[in-house]
Amino acid sequence: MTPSRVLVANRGECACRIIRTLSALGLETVAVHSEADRNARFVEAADHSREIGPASPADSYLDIDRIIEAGREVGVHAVHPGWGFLSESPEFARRVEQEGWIYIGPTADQVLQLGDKTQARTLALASGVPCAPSLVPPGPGSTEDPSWARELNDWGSALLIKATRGGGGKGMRIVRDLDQLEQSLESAQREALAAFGDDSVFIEKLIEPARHIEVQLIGDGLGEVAILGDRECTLQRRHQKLIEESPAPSLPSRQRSDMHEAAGRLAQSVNYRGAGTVEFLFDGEQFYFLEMNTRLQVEHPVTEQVHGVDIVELQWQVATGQARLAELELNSTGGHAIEVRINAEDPAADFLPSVGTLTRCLWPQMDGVRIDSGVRQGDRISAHYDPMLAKIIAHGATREDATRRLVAAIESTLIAGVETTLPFCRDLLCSSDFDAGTAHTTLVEEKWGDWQAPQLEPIWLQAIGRAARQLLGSTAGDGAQVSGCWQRLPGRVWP
Amino acid sequence: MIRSQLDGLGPSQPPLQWKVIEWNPPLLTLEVEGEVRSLVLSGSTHKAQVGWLGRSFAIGIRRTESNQTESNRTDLAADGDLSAPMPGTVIEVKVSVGEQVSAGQVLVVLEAMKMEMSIRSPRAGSIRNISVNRGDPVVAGSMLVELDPQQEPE
Repeated sequence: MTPSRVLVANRGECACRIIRTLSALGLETVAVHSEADRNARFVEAADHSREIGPASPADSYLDIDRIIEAGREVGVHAVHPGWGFLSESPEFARRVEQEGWIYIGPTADQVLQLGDKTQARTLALASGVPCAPSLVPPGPGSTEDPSWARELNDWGSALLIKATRGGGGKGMRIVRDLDQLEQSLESAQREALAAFGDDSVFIEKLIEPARHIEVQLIGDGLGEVAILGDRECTLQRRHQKLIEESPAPSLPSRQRSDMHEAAGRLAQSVNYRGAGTVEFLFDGEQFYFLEMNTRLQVEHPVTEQVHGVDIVELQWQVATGQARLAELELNSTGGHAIEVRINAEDPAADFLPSVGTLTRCLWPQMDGVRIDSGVRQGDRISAHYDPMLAKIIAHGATREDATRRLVAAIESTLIAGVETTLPFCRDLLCSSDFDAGTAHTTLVEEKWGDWQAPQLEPIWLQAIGRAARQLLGSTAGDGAQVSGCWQRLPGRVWP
Repeated sequence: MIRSQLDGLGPSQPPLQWKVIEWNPPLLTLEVEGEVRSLVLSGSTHKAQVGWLGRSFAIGIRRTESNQTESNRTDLAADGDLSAPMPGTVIEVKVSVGEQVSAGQVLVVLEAMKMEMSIRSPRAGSIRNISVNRGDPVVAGSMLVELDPQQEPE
């Protein structure tokens, strides 16, 4: 029997993105959703849907039993985990395998091995992938000779404590003074235990200042691995990426090819199956292994735009054994692609979540601009889930071209009802900090803390009010009508 | 479509010069006092939203049936929800809870960008709640006053 019914174990923009490709491939899609997402766009987009629990993610999107049960009820053949939620859970991958369904991702063993940071490091080192020096401290309450920490002096840098099972910055501590080491270790272990149920941590030399560069790859599970170029995700705030682009700008070609080869060796060493990303820190001369993400990533569209591929389609081909990666022609359309994430957060108020109803949601239709959105006008934005609403991706012949298109697209977008990160990202894109090679991963925290939102002055509010009275109808309240008459922007003048 | 106009902002202020350079809904290129900006405009004459540099702003538009002799009254009086149209500081609260007010009466005075702005009642009614005090900073959209519509006599 040909597998044809696919459950998407995710929500929001992620689920919308995956459903789009699966539907285009002629597959039936099944959405699983919480009570709060009953009317969400991704549920509407899917062919079938099942409600699996209340709003709280632990009782719905993270509840493996309920998702498996929903899959049995609908009779699915395959599961796509998306990103976040259960996408890096070896237990979920195993349960899907046990049902006899296709897991659109790596094997459960690969998720386990590469998700464990110390195991992943060991594999990386064995494959000749450069890693920063590291040390595993004695466990809490250990009576080991305290001289174990002496080696740390020789590194001549600050230290980074990381949780072995960590993610999202939890269980992470920067130590700049060795006197603080013990105290930081204890608090990192406590936080790791609370967040991941495991208090193991390890210490790494802190690479700073550094750029975040990652390599996208896809493996067929039989030893063939295709490299789909690299991405730069250096502009982030507290480990949350804001702007991503492909290819990484001004990266010397030797380091670029070394990085690609290193990522390929690591994936090959485990006969990696599916899409994956190997993340590196680059200090300007050397690159160091950061981690491998065994899933589709939020920023995958920039790679798709530059290489002319659909990564979700490739994932399906690999999962069903139809992929011919050796023959995969990367018909690189070339050029440069940049993405901004639109989060419902107030960038002028420490990026606090902004909740409310999307009273307006109008997107531009422009050449080279792609909108990946999980929402529509009228949607209620709650604080239950990740704040990402949508992404705007611009593709151009050069980085400057892509930047100009992206800024134009942002300035032609109207999202009302919640504050978003869009005006912040627009200013970042227009700043000298966006210039290639000058940014590093903590720059936004260091330099952009006192960013202020743009304000229309009273004379502008007055003038717009008056123009609106002439230009708008008295009842054309529904922006959907307006969005129907979107046109290409004729003769736009760039500031 | 190109329009150019002069509008009075009030007796003490010079006329406002503005011009629609291009209107390709919802994209609006507007010139105000010699400066040109690209905006996104959507909604109705009762409630409009404008996007600028990736951020959105609510635009309160004066009801067209308003008395022409009141031409100097602010355009920024909210049209139903009495929230702050932009960030600023409350410099005066002119009413109290339970007070009967008439349409057009000034309820709250804000200061923003060094200009005073009167928030007027869009209709007759009674004040149910006042969310701000004199001196409070407000952000765009902050609730100022809640209004109960006037009861029809039984």
